[in-house]
Amino acid sequence: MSSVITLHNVSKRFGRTQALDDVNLEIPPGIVFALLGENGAGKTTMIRILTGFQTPDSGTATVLRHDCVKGGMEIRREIGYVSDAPALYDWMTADEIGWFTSAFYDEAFSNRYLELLAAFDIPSGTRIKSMSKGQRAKVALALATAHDPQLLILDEPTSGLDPMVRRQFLESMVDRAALGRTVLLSSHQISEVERVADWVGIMHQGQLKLVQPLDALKQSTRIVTATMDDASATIALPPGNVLTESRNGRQMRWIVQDMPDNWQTTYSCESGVEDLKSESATLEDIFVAVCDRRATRPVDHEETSRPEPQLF
Amino acid sequence: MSNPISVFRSLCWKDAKAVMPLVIMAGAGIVVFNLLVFVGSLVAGSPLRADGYIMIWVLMPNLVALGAPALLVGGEEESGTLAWLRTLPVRWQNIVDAKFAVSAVAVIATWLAASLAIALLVASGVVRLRGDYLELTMVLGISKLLFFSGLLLAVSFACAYTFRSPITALLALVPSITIIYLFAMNLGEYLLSYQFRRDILGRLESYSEPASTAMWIFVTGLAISLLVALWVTQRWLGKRRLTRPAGAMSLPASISQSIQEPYRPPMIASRERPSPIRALHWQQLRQARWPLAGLTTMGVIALLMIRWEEATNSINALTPLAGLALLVAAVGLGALVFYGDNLNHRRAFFGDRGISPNQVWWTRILSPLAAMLVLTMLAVVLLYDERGSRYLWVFLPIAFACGQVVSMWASRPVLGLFGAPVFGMLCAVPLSLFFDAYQDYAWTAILLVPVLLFATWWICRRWLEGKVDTGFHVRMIAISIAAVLLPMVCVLGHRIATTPALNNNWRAKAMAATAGIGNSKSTTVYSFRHTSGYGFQWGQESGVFDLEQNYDSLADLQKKIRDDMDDLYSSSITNDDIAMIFDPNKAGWEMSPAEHAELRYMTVELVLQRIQHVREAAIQYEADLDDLQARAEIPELSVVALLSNQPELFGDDESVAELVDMISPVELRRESRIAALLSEWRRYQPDYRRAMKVPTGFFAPRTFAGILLSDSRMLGVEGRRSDRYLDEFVRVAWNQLDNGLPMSGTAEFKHRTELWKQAHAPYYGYWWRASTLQGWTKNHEMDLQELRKRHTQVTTAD
Repeated sequence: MSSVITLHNVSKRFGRTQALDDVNLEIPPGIVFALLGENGAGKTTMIRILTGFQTPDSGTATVLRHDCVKGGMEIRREIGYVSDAPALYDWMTADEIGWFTSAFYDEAFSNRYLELLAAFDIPSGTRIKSMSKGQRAKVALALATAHDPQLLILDEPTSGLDPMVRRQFLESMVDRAALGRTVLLSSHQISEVERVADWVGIMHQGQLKLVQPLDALKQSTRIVTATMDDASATIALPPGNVLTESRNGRQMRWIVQDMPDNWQTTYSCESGVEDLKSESATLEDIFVAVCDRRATRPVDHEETSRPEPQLF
Repeated sequence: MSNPISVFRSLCWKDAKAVMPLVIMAGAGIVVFNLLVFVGSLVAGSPLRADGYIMIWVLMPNLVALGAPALLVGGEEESGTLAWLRTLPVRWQNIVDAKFAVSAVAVIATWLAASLAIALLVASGVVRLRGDYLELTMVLGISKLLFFSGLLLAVSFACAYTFRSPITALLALVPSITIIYLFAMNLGEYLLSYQFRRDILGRLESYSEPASTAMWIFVTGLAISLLVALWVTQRWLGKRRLTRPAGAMSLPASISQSIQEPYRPPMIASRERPSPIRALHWQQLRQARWPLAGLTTMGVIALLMIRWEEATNSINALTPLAGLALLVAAVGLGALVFYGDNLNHRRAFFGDRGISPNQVWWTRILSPLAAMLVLTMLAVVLLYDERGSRYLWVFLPIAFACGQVVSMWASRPVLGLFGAPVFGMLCAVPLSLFFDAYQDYAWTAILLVPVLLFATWWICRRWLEGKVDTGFHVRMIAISIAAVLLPMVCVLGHRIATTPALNNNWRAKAMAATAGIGNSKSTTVYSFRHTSGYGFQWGQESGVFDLEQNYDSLADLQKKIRDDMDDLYSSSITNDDIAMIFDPNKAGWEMSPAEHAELRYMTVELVLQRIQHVREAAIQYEADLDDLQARAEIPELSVVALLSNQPELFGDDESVAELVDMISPVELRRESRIAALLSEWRRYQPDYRRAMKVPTGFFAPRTFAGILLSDSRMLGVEGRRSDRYLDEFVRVAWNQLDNGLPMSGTAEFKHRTELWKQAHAPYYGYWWRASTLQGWTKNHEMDLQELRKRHTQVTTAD
């Protein structure tokens, strides 16, 4: 099955800032892909490159088999796109903007749009400028999805929305994926991503640090806590890919990926470890482990933690 | 509690930052315009007329007075910062006063900069102020201008606080300022008038006596009071805007949209799905309809006013306002094109959906363009027959095109509204300097329009995608420069393309024919310059003096005439004397009809002798073409006309026949013309000028028959073109002298006249073009032939 989105060695620099650094990614159809990253990590730059608004300095990117540099217009016609600050003609009513936008899509747009308005509880005769922020966001989402696009790209869609609206928004994403459509969702709201995403990619300082199916990621990542008999004692790292380590008195804590089942054999009775336990990491733990600049990382971890391009 | 002074200072700093782009724009305009004027004056080699230039001086400060309130109130409303200000613990007085203070300082600073620029140019002689324009720089004129700026600033703030949309505020401003200014001016003039003193104050003083100092002080006080009243009004409106809940000044609740409208479950779409073009056109019309209607109405009213003023010849205080309103309407229509989509970056709606930029562009431009075309057609219909405003229509599409460029270019839509006139003037100044030289091509300025329309079409995709980056600005600047250059390139291209080829064979023949010119006494013949010349006719009004004032007696005059006949280089009898002799009101002394006829006979005899003498000198290359024309051809035309139409002025038929007999014979006339024409041509040639050390250089003009044709300041193409056309003109004229002169008004005659016209380089000869080679027509030859035939028959019959 061909990928909906591909990025190969894409880099982009703005002045002294490396917004994207050699990013590789392929996203298959029918999933909700969440792009996680702190502010300024490069998420919006990647989306702007994918939608043809920005040209990469190097590398290639395609969306729905269109080259993003040459086919930006075609891409934006085919996909649904909601930016972080969607532009709307706020002097129109919800009805009017739907009627107006239907001119650019197929016959089914109008009915689907009105169904979405009904589903979102949007009063159709109200001017957009008189609507709440959540209502505007729903109108924007309805407009972006009413033509049933193969790919929906959402850039921070729920920032500033109340929990009820966020929930509605996210459920609609899951519904779309269930219909075989692809959703690329950029966010730093980890809890909402955790609820809907099939795959996650974590961006940090322009680099795609990690790309995995969410379930697999969570299963393969553990938090290991070791309590030692002496606060000054040293201890070996657990086996696997150690993302971070932290020390609090006699207690050491690691976040480890791909740890073997027999990891406890590393620590014998003479190792000074009084207590040893492992628990599943949350997505937030993993995100912080990857992105926290203040976290202590074992030597050479930076070089070894970089994932290979994920091919499906 | 924060310190009120530091709060006010902070607000002023914020407002100064907001208004700075407008002030910088106005400052750049002042610098660029004045530089262009300076360069233009240098190229023209003379001071420029101030008519258009004075408008730049007045326009820039008033543009700031107009734009600063829109930026500080309308702009802040659009960006949402006005609402934010209301949430801060700041008194409304501080906000309103800071905005007014910053704007007032900006206007004053712009006035100072603009005045300094004009003072420098006037002092250096680059610009010469005349008439009404000079009065504007006097104390009274400056006071009036400052008063107008103050009114404009206060009324602009009042409108900006009253209306949330900057465009609506601008539309409301035009009638408001017109009414207030006219009221103030008329009231002031009436209070200072004689009628007021007579009818109201009951003073019976002289009409010409000026108003008293007390009255001037009173009127000045009244003007200041009006400004204060308007300042208080705008302050009050500012308070309403900043302290009342939003919507309090909007439409009545019954027709405004309710925020709390209950949820209505949507039904199946009842409206038919529109085509993209229809939908986009609907959207543009909806967002621009009221300003569109307002600006179109304003333009139509302005046109009707101009038509009425032209028709009734009643130029008054409204005249400049009507013209200004018309241009504002055209610029405003242009500025509307992308305004609605630029607000809050709404254009991203199209960009995000990959909607065709082509469709977006066409639907943006269509309705404002249609409105502008209506205005243009109306201008053609109403004003084409009015000499003063005949070509006003050309400016409307140009103003529109400039407006639409800036409406796309400006990052802040409100700034775009006021940047459009500056951009328009930046385009207009180099073009007006250029077309001052190429007046016949002025219509080609309209070529600017398609280029500027192309600019926005070309850049539309980047604009929709929000790529307003360096590349965007570079493209815009490049195409704007191209737009200004295109008419110039076309004009120069046409001049190059229509330059005749060098006719070497003919030139060699002409050079051979004038080989003897090098033996003549001087390079330029001035022998006859002090003698009288030019035409005269019976009954023509002559100078202010009478003959008695110039001569002691009739005998004295007659003696001087005889002396002149004896020495034909003498100039005792001037052209004025001859004119007075043929002016029944200036003839002087008591003379019998016979004495009068004899005096006229003697005068014409002197004139004919001089003509003959000049013609003979021309054959010897000692009289040039200018001498021949002024002192032989034109006087001969006068003599032939007098002898043909009023022979009774000269006594009996015998006297007339004697005079006719004295007219130069055909062969002498033909040869003198050929010699003068060819020798003039030879003297005009650069190699001859160099050989004879005729002054050359940057400011040395080249004259032919006393008329400036070109000089070395002109582009090479113009000098070459002038030379080639002169060759053609001389060739054709020579050919006509050999093969028969053309009748006046025939194709041959028109061809010769057109060649002469084309021989003039830009800047030169607009008043002289049609008046060369007077008398070199078959008509004159036939009149002469007829005269000779008639008087030979008379003599034979006797």
